[in-house]
Amino acid sequence: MLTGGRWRLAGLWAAALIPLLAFSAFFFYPVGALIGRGLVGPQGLDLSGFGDVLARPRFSRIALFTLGQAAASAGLAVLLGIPGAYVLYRCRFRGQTVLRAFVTVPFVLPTVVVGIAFRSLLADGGPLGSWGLDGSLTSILLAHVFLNYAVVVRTVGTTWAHLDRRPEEAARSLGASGVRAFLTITVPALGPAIASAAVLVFLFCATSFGIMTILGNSYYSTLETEIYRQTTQNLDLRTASVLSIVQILLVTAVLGVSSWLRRRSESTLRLRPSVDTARPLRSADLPAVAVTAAVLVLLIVPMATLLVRSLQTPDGWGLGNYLALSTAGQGKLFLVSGWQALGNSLRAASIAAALSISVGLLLTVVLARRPRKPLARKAISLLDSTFMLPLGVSAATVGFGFLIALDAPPLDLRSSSALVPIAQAMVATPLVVRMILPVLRGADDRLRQAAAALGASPVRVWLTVDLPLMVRALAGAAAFAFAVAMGEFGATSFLARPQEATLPIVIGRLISRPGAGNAGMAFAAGVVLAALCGAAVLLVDRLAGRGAAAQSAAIGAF
Amino acid sequence: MNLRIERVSVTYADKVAVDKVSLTLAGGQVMALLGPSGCGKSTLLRAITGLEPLAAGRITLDGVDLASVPVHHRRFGLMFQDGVLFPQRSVAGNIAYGLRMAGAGRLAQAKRVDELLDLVGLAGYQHRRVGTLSGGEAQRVALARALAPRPRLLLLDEPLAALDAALRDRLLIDLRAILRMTGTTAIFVTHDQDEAFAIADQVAVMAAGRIRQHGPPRQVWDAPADEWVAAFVGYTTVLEPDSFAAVVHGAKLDGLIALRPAALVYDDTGEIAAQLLAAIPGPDLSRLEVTVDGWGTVHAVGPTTPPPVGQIRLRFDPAGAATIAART
Repeated sequence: MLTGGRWRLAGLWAAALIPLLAFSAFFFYPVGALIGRGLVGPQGLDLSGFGDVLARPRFSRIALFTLGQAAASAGLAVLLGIPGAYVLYRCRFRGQTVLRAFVTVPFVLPTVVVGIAFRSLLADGGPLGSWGLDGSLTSILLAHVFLNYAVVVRTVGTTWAHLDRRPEEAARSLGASGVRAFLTITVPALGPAIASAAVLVFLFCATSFGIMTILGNSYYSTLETEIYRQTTQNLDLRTASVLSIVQILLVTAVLGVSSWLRRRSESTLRLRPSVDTARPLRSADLPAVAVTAAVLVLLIVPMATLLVRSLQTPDGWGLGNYLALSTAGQGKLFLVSGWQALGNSLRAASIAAALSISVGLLLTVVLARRPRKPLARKAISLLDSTFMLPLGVSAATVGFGFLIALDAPPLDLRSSSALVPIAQAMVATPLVVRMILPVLRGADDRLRQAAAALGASPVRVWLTVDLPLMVRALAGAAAFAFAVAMGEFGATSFLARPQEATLPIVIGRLISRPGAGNAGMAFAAGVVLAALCGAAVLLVDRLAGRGAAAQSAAIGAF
Repeated sequence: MNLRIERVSVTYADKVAVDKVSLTLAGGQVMALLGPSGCGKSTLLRAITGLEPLAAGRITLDGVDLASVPVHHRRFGLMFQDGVLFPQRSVAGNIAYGLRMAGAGRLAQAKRVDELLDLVGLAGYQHRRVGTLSGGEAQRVALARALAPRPRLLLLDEPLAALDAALRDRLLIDLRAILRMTGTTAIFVTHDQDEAFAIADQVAVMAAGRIRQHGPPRQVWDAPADEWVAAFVGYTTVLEPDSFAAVVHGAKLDGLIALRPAALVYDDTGEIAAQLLAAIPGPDLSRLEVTVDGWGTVHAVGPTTPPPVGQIRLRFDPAGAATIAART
């Protein structure tokens, strides 16, 4: 017979088992199959694929370029983001909250939309077309900064906002100039936050797919776009698998370094309520304000150009491009019209959001526990990192893995329309967990103890204490998962069948084809997609709301 | 070394934190800036350090206006309530920070660090991580760090407030000795009158952004400038001269009379008749709440084991009384 405690344990196991099964079937199995494809030849273990691939100068060049552009993007984002973090989090001025929310929007804009927004600005016919930046490395880096500026500003800013000012003041009184005090005292204190922001941006940019596809033309390739090219154009699955493995190894190495950095630090930071540390802008802050203003221009101009150009048709101003969304583009590019693609996107994203919220919720029930037994605690921390793995594995890898693993028994989903939302849910679930978990872990455990002492069963405790606590974060996470799924491009590119093309896929196709009509239609579709995702993220901000901790958890924490 | 603070004001947004304060401090002296929390004393200290801009007035050191001297060129040491040691540096690294900024060589730095650790009683702590220090040790290191570059003026912002009572007394004695020994000129911000009187050559009592009284501790104690200062430094009762003379005969009367509890001592042969309302036993003496005809409820002291509630007699002890010049 099961006693109360055993029942509880059984419930916990069930809560852990469902996500584990889901992750096994839709993450570990496909990725494992992919790795197998790269490592195993007809005669068993066969590493010759690596030699073949790595010996080809094209691939080593691509690997180097992948790392180089990611490092340059991360460096640039950090350099521009630190002044932004200072102005938006360390200082205090009217309209600051609105500005903080505003700089977050680009992060959730679909990469495809950001890509075409930069093209609308930089390509021939765009306002800056004469600068010759279209398809240049500069445009790629700028787009990466555009997307990831918020990561740096929020990660560094939220730490900075709580950093005690007095060590800096002590240093000043001991003879350090402002710059020297900043470099010797503030930077080391912010070091972990800066490092983890840099690592995150590096990771996003190293696996950037949408930006590279749209802005890289076919001249610049990263491992991610090369995997796609080898799969879909050359049909060389073995090479694609090897490239995926190389990418996984690189990403794992970077994640390893980052977690090492995180563990090494933080313990001794002296944090205070931000109310005590923020101070009004002073004239000495002018350089930081100027840099921040310049970045704000960078954030506004591409999106504004996209909007303007979506309203420009060959016959003058009008909604022609939006009306064209009811067609399949000039020359019948697709089986679906723009609006049908939007319908596909909405359907897939809703299912994906629902899936990731369900799986994510079950996970948080387990991960939020703080058991006394060291072994149990270790198991939970292991689970925690296991479910974060999809964050570190690129979307294209997931899509590619689905493609080669889920088209034969035991899991034959090739013809199922569930593939796209499942893949999107795999990408979104870790983010959902990261948004909810801090709220649960931050809650005073004595609330639960009090409820239990008053006679509430574990389920009732969860319903009456945990659920109300996280309801805001949960709604925010759902909106965020929806936005991520709406804009998902990498995995969906591999998986969406022609009649199920989502809006990002349609945009990507449209922009790569000649014809002003197609470009105009892409711009209109981009505006629609951006509006939906922007609305979702603003909802996140409203829902995560005044609780700044939950907000920072939204982006800073994973 | 001569510090002059002339009609200095500091404002936050629309709130005046420091209101036309003037003070002077001569070299080698220790001044206590005494006041309740929120009275502007810490803000004034930060303004002297150069961390808060002045809204009005000026601060000069040996006749040189400090307005154009940035914080890091002032050579003023600063010490906070809770150490604020640099977490990434060792104890030695913290103490040597100011020496490094001044361009001292490695050897000179190490020698000075040793010297200061000896001085604050933490010899051998050079390589300790600051996270491993106790609160008292951290404050000693903070003191050493502030003193290392031989500051022209040491500014201490409630340096003992975060410590528990026994540790506070110990460190207060050491701090006093170290300041005297090194001849350091210092301003010591505190809300604790005992600390102020223990450590300072001069006391400036501050309330609501203004200096209410400034002088040697004995003078502030013996002749509080007004009722507010009297209450803040421990006088619990203020009486009109007439009502005081009606009960205590033959006292000299040139103003309001302020009484500490110790001014009225339980004594069967005393001249003052009182009604004992309540008594709180204490280790050294008991505190009595009594009513005296014409005075109302006042405080007095008695033996460790207090007498029973009822009619008692009290003796007046002039050592616990002071005359106030002004009325607020």
